[in-house]
Amino acid sequence: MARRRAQPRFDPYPILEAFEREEVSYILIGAFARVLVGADEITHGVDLAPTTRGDNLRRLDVALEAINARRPGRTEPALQTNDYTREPVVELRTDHGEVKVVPVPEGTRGYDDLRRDAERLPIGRGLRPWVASSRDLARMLNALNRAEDLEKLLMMRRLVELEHDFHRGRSIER
Amino acid sequence: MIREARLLAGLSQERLAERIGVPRQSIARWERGEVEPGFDNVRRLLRSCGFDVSLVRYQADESAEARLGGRLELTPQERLVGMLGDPDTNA
Repeated sequence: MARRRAQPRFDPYPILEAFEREEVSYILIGAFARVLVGADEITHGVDLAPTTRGDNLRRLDVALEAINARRPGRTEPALQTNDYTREPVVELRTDHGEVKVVPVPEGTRGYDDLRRDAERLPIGRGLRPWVASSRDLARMLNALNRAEDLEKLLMMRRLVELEHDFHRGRSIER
Repeated sequence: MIREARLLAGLSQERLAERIGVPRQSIARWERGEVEPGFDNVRRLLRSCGFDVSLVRYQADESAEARLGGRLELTPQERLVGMLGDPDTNA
């Protein structure tokens, strides 16, 4: 009987450190980003929207190679040559957890669109990745239009409201 | 929600303002949350973007609300460590 490879324990730090080493330009999206902005969720992977400009996807390929990223069929990611009209989301497994590469997430126009409201958030080990704004994270969830995401969408919308009140409260305190 | 609907409809602030007959600055202020648009305006805005408001009744979960508020007080690193730190959910 064929043995299934055990799922590695999710550790986002080596994944993001690999991106940092190769100077990959990307915005964090999806559940991982939602956790960083305050959502009460659990995830086992990192989703990102990279820019497709210049040689960014080649650098991303190099970074992913360093963490043994493979498609489900055990083939290499080959993001630089991927046809994103046919495969808009590239799902990968790495030594440290799952990685999803989504150059144009649903409901957005991609990296440049998300970058406008994104923020660099310090997450430790000297890493400060760009993370999509709560509003944009809610926008993406809404555009996906999946019944299973309804609770997450309501939570994100509430988070946007609380964030607004929180920042307004802080500015009044000053 | 207004910005989200406008972007999904592919409209600029100017175009949406024209559609509902208000200055572009009003749209900008509503989107930034500087001014409350009121329910009637929200409804007009959403309809102009091809959406509508529907009422969904659900039980408000106050403990979830408090948890969410508490998480805003944490740093992004603390939020991440909080999620990663639970070995039962992150095997």
